[in-house]
Amino acid sequence: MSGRQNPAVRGSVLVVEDEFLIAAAVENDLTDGGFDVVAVANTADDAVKLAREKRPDLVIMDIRLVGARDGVDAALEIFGETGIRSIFATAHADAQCKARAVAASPLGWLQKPYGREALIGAVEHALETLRPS
Amino acid sequence: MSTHPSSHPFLRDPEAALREAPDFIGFLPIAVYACDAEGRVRWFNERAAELWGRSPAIGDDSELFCGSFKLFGLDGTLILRNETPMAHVLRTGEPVHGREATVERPDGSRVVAMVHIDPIKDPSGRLLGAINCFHDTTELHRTKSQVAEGGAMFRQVLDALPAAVYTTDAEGRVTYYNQAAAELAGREPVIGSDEWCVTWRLYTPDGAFLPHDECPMAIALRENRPVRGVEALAERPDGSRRPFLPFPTPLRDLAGNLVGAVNMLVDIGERKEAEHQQRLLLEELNHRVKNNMQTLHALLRGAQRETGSAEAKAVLAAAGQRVGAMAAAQQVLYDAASPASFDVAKFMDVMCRNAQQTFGRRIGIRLDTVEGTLKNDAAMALALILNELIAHALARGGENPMSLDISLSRQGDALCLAVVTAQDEPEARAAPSRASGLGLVAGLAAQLGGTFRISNGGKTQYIVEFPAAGGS
Repeated sequence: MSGRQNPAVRGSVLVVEDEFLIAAAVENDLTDGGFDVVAVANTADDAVKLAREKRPDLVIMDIRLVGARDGVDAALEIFGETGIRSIFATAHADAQCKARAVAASPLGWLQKPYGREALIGAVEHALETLRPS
Repeated sequence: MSTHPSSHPFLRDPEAALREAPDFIGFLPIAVYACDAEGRVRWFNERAAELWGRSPAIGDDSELFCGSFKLFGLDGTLILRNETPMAHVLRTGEPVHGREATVERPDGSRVVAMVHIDPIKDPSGRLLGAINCFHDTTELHRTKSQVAEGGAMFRQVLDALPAAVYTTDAEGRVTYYNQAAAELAGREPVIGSDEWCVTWRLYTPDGAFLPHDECPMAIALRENRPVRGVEALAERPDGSRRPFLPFPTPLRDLAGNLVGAVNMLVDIGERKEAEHQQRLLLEELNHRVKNNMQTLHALLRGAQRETGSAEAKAVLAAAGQRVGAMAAAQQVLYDAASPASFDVAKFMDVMCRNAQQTFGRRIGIRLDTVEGTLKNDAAMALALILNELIAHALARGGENPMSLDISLSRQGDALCLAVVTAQDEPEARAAPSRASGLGLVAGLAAQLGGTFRISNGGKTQYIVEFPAAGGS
């Protein structure tokens, strides 16, 4: 359920991660932290489809995904179509990759491996950024 | 036309000059002989006899025009007596200068001679005969031939080289290129027309268009100096591009004047591709290592979530933080310019940022660090020491936000890592566990060849000193 519909939760997040164990940990950390994980996607196409359907506040976007398209491709399409922005999570992001991602207006970068505190902190900070002033 | 020889003071009496050799002729280092208008040899000096290898009969009608046993052109063709340069002068009345021919002596030996023949005329212009001054040019001719052969051989060597080579004149016009140059350029350069470079189009390594008159070869010619260490991209007419290193070098004559330049273009396309592949491999390796660390981290977090024990939760959380610190150190090593060492200041900055990310808003870190490098061996130990000290200080401070002063300073040959907190450390402590917390710090400090101590006094300082060389 989206955070916009349920005032009890702190915000809604779509998790895009193709490694099952990592995705499960991220989902658990966010849920324990009071966020609504609306879905977990493991491909760029699924991510776009789920973002369109679920309309989360933000996306935790892994860059390397199974399939032909990567997380930057997905984030660009999601942002272009819905205006939803992403926090990119990656083990290695070079300058070229970061430059590609600029057009998706990133909410932040999480360097793998990251812990619960870092994840929650990044999402809280992103939601503060998104909150109307 | 030159001044008429008969006007020279020496020939005030031309008939006498032909009749009898002047006395000094015998002292001259060059060969001289005279013929009358019919071609009969009237006199010759000793040097002429040496070159001919014989002494012709004076006034002999059977040996006209020349004292040689046989005479050949430089192409080996036999020259008949009535075809000799002397015969030509006597027939036309015009001088001949600088012609070369091969003289064959009676013993079969040969010399190359250069002749200078002037007609002798009386004051009325009537041809009386001619005088031939000739000299041995065999060595000069041989040297010229060797130079020509050497040049041809040198060109063959250049043609056979797998490296692209071309030359230009001093104005930059292409004067030579080898096949490798044509292959690199993807075109046949135009000799005498193409300027500065044999390529179709040139670009800098970052893709900016580079006009030919600003290329390294043009600079080498304009500034009369070799140009090194510049990389360029050659675009072929088919649009493909090849990176190369040019080595333009000015060519100078014996007097030091610029006469042109030679350029060797070393195709570094394969090297670039190999470097790219190596980079991809390293990126993949780095990604795999860190992704595996994230998976390990996820497993620890999963276990932490499952356990009901508060102590187990804390231990698993600490283990996850250590994995995070190691991953941050791994990234610094991956980004390092050197494969054997890393930048200390950058390392400290990354580690503190990682701690900030790991521990969230509970801490504020002020960092002061020296510049320099450390051996890679020290990276993981130092990363874990810093993580443990920060975690320990945080644990001492409870849930309240706190500030930490972290410094890395040089003390002689040693480096001193200090984490300073306002929290007091109890004087009497139980022996710490070797596997975690301050026990881990002490063990890792020893691994670095250093020591760990705690200093109390208003503030608590956790100090690790270790050799700047990078550990034991």
